[in-house]
Amino acid sequence: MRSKKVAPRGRRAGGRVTHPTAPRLRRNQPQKKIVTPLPTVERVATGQIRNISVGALARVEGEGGIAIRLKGDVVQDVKVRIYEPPRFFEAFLRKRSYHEVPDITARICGICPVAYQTSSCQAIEHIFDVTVDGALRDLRRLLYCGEWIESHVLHIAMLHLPDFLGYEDAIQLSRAQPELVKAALRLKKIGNDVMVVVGGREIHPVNVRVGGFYRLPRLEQLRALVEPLRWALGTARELVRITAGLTFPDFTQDYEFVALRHPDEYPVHEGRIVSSKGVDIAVKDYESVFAEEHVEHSNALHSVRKGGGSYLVGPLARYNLNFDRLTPQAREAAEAAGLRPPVTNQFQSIIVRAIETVFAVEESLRIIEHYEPPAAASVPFQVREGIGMGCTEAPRGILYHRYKVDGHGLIQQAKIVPPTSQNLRTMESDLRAFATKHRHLPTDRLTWQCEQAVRNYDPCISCATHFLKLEVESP
Amino acid sequence: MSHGVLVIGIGNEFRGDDAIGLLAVRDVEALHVPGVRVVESRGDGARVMRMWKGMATVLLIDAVHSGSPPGTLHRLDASHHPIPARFLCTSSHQFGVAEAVETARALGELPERVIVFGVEVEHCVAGTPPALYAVVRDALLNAIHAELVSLDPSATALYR
Repeated sequence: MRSKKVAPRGRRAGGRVTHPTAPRLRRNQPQKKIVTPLPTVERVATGQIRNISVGALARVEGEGGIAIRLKGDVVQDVKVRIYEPPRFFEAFLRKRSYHEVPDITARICGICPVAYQTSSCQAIEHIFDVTVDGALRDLRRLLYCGEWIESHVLHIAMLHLPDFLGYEDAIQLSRAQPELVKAALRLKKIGNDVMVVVGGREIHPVNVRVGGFYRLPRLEQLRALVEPLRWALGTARELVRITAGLTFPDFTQDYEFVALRHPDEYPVHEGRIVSSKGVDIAVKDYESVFAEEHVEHSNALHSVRKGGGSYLVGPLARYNLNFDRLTPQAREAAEAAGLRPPVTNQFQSIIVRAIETVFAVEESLRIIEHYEPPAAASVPFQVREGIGMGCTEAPRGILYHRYKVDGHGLIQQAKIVPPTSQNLRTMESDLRAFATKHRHLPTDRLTWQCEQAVRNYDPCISCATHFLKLEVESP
Repeated sequence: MSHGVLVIGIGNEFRGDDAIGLLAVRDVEALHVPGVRVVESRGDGARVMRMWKGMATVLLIDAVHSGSPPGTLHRLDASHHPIPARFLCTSSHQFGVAEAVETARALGELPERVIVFGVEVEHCVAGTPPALYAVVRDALLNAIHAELVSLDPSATALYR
C-alpha cells in the first residue's frame, strides 16, 4: 500500500477555501461561490481495504490522530491515537513542593487551567484536611464559571458550529456571519475577564493557592463584571436558540454517563461521582471503580469502569445526571430548546454547551451579587503527609487528581486523569459505529464526518482541529 | 490607532522547540526598543485578536512545521495575503494564531501590518529542552531587529 499525502478537506492553492460537502445551509446564508472538486475521491470495490487516517501535529493539548481501517463493508479497526502531556507532568511534579502544584498543573492545558488548579488544590486540601467554604468557595466557583464560559463559547462558535453550518472553519463563518462571530468572541472574552478578576490572569491564573487565593479580588472589579454578564446572559440564550435549530445526524448510543453530582448545585467543582448505571461514590473512591489501561497505539491510557466498559464524561453526562440542578434561566432555555434528558446523541452536545454557558453566566451573576468579602484570602492549614484526591468538572468532563505528599509537603507521587483520556474508548466506539453506518461515503467525506464525531467531545487532542494533514492509504 | 509595534511570541515552554517564540520575545524585550511592546501567548487566537486591537503593526514569532529543514527562518507578510493554513502549529480546540489572523481579516479587524516570523522546528516533545533556539537565536533576533528598523530607523541605535 502506498501512502499519499493530500491537502486537507476542500482546501486548495490560492487560499480560497471551500467545503467538501456543502451540506445544509441555513436560510439567508449566502451560498458559497465555488465548490472545488476534492483531491481524492476514491471508488472502493467490495473486499478492498481502505484506511482512513487523520494524523496531526499540534501545539498545546497534545498530538493525536484518528486511524480507521475499513475492509469492504466492515470496519476492521479504529484507533484514536493520542500523545498527551499529563504523563510528563506527573513525573515533573515529583519532589516539588505542594504549593507549586496549582501553578504547574495549570500549564497542562491552555484552555482549562482552572480545572487543573482546582482539582489539584482539592486533592492537596484533602490531605491537609482543609475546608474552603463560604465566600472563598464561591470565588473558586466563579473562577471556574469563567473558564466554562470561555471554553464552551470557543468550542461552540469557533470549532463546532462551522461543522453544522457547512463551513470549513471559523474563518468562513466569520465571512458569512460576522456579527455572530463578533458576539461569540465578546461572550468568550467575558469569561476570560472573570478569570482575570478572580484568577489574576486569564491564561494561567496565578492567584490560586491551596486553601484559597493569594489575594481577594477588588469589589469594584467584581461589580464591573455585572453589566457585561447581563449582556452575556442574553447572548448565551441566543446561542442555545441557534444551536437547537441545527440539524443533527441520527446517532444515538447507549452510553454510561459519568459526572459529579452535588446535593444543591449544578456540578462544577464539587460533588460525588455518579453514573447513569448505578455508580455513586465519593471522589476518594474513584480508583476503586475506574481504572486506566495501557493500549498499544496510544501514549495515553484508556479509562474504563472496572468490570464494565467505556463511559462518557462531559456536557451530556453532566446534563443528563443533573438536569434538575440547572439554574432557572438555563432550565428555561433548555425547555425552550426542547432538550429533555436523557440526551444520547453526542452531536447535540453543542446545545448542552450553550445551555451550560447560560448556567455559568447566571451562576457568576448570582455569586457576584451575593458576594461579601471574607476575612482572609485563604484558610490556614498544617502541612502533613498523606494521600489526597480531587475531582472537578472541567468543561470537557471530570478531571481526577491524586497526590502523595511527604511530611515536608513534597510531592512523592502524582496521578492525573484528564477527561479526554476517560472518553478515548468511547470516542473509538462512536467512530466504529459511525464509520460502519456511513461506510459507503467517499473517503474524504467519511473522514470529515468522523472528525466531526470526534469534535463532539471537544477533545484535548489535535484531531479536533480543522487543519489536519490527511493521509489516505490507497488500496 | 497606536503607532507602536506589538511583538507577540507564541509557543509552549514545556514542549521543546515550540518554546522558540517565547524565548525570542524575551530577548527582544531585553533590547528595550522604544515604542516596541512585547507579549507572550500560548496560541489562543481569540486572545491574540484582543491583544492587537488598535495596533498598527504586529510581529508574530512562532514555531512552524512546513517541511523545510529545521532552523529555516520564514518571513511571511500576512497583511495582504492569507497565511498558508497549515503553516503555523495550529492545535485542536485551540483557535490558533493562523485562524486568528484570517478571522480578523474576515471581520475587518486585522492590524494594518502583520509580519510573521516562523522558525522551522524539529522536536516539540513535552519535557525536552528547546535545543534549536541557541542555533537560530542570532539570525532570528537580527531579522526581527531589521524589521523594527525598517519600521522606525531610530531603533538602530539601541541594538548594540
